Amino acid sequence: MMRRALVSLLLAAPTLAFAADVYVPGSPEDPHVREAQYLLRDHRTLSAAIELRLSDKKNDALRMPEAYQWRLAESYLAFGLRDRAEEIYRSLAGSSSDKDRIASAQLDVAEFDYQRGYLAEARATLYKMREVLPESAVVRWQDLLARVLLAESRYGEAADVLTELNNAGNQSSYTRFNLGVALVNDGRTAQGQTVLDRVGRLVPDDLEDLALRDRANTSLGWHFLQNQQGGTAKPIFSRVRVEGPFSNRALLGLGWAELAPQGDRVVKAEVGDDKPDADPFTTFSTLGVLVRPGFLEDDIFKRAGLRAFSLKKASREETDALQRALVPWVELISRDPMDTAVQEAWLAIPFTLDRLGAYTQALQYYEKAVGVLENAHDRMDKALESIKRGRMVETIVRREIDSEAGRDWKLRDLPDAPETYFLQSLLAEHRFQEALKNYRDVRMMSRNLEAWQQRLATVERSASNTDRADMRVDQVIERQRAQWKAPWAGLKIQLHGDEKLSVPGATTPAAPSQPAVTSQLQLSGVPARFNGVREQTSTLHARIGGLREQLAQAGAEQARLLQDMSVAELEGQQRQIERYLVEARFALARLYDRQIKGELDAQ
Amino acid sequence: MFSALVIFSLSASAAQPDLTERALRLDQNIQALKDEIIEFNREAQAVENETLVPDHLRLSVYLSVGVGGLLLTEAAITVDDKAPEIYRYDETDARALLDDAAVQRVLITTVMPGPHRIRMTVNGNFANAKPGDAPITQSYEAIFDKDDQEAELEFRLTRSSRFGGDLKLTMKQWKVKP
Repeated sequence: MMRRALVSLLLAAPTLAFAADVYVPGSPEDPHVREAQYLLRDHRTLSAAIELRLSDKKNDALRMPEAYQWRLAESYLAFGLRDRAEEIYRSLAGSSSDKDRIASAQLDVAEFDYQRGYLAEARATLYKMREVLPESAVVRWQDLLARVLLAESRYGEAADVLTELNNAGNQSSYTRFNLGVALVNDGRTAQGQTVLDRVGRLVPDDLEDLALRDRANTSLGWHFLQNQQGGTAKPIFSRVRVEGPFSNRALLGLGWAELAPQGDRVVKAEVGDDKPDADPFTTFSTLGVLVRPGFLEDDIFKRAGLRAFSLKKASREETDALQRALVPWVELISRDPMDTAVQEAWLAIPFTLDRLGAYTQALQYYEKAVGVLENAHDRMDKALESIKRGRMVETIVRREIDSEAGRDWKLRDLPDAPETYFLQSLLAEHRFQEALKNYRDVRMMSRNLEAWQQRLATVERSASNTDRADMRVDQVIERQRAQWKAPWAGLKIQLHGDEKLSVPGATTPAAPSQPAVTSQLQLSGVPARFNGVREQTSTLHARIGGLREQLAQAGAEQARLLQDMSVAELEGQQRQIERYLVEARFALARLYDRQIKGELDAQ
Repeated sequence: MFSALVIFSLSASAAQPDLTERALRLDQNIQALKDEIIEFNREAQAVENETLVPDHLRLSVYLSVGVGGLLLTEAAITVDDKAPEIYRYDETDARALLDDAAVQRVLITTVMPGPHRIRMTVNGNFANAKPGDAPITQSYEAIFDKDDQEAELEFRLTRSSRFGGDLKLTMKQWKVKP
């Protein structure tokens, strides 16, 4: 019957079985190593690490083939297990001839350290690499070391790292921006300005380039403002796009640039890698175009409800400057009042009107400003309450609760919570993102253990299922034999032939009365404990209990850390609003006082 | 008044050393927990495998794709007369499978020693396919012989030659070196 079934199977099938290909465990051909690669690419970092650990039967990763070690180290690092990864990379550095890959791995570890805030460790790793740095890793090494040094406020060293190899042509625009910041902060102001100016003129290829360009121009513009060089700041701010993450700050600066001392003409410094400056004009949607007289829709003053006012106080030159300053600020107050730049514009406008002698309108604007700022303060209170309830973080982590992406996880969009708007800059910072990743990982691990409780229960049920077919003892013994290796396997025993043969009778024969030597057989001791499926699952259940408790505690501490970071950020912003409110109310009181005294002329 | 924006200021973390220290201490703690979770999973998975899919009955089926830009939407595996096991892909896992070194384990089950019939069918589309283009479908059916060790089969979707040609699905059996 069996034979007939097999024959029909063979006849029906298009392809027959063939000889198997053999693989060495842990080699690049090993399906477990390749499956781990798939899991890594699928952002399932925990599963990748487990898959590899499971295939290491001797539980000694450092003795496995290189392919296995590389993959395991990558999985560990992706899952956020930095120390484990580094241990393997260190071992590989001693055995592998692939220096480029070793350098790239060390840079990955240093990048992890930088993002998590282990700055001293990142710096040590990077400086240690310097002597054996392959050409392929130079640019990335420079960029990362400069970022680490900037984070530590070691500006001079950062600038040296980026300039000493004289390879500006290979560096990215981001690296050049960092160089500009490092040079300015190190006191090499003229060189820093030149580098930032060049980044601010780059011809953009994509939205990221545009954002970097805007950032460089906004930074440089405010730098000139702080150095009393309003005249130089104006064209720089004018390069910033009308809509973008830096446009509000640039609009605010553009107004102040009209009122600040105009300063001397700035002479560009040579930085040794000069290329011709690109034309900064690449789009019509820049602030320079927006605030150009006559270009803007109708009359921006009319839009803001500013009637014509008589000028009593300022000189002609100052009046012109004040009126020009109002142009970007009037545009700015039409934007979201929760932005600090917009809030400052709400104060800057009545300040300017007051200077122009338009007291009534100044008074009205201060009153509106107080309303806007009080509203912002209330919203900030609500945001603080919401943070304390942990809603925003909870919403973020619940979206992809089972994701094993580890350190590759990215916050794709922001949740709709009251605090989200105020925390945008904090949410983009490594310190917050990395803490958030850890919090997510803790939650994911708790769910992993929760799932194991069910899975182990299934294992127990299966092990105690008496309906299973009986096993054939001869087959079990055969399988065990196939896996068993004699402890003396491989041991070589050599016999030596004696050089002399004793004369017969010269040796002492055994006494006839002596009993023959016989080997004594003894029963071996009973094992102290049996470690069957039931015992193993019972131990695993107990471990789940302990681990879940530790994870719950770690999760609570991590959530508190995220909350404290958010509260510190919001309280800083709230203090700023309170300062503005004090200024607005004080200015209002002053104007009322002068009105009562009849010092203000009617408009 | 224009002190609101200081562009070259230090990050907020520099002003909050206690938060930075707390973050690092917690990170260390969580790293230790991650390590324990991996080891726990390793041991638990080994017990589960030993009980539910022991080596001598285990059949692992893998799938790999060696055709650039081909994003699978579905893979179906049928062993003997059992109901087919179907895996549906989203874009992320379909792209993960395009890595040259990657294989995906699409099935782990138990079968008795002896000959078995297995059939794999995959469906997918090229990333640059236009709306209305017919989906790609490939099938392969074979007999494999299960002995008293784990059986590991890899189905591979490739082109018929290095320089292009038709798509083809093939099967390879792997054995661990004793």
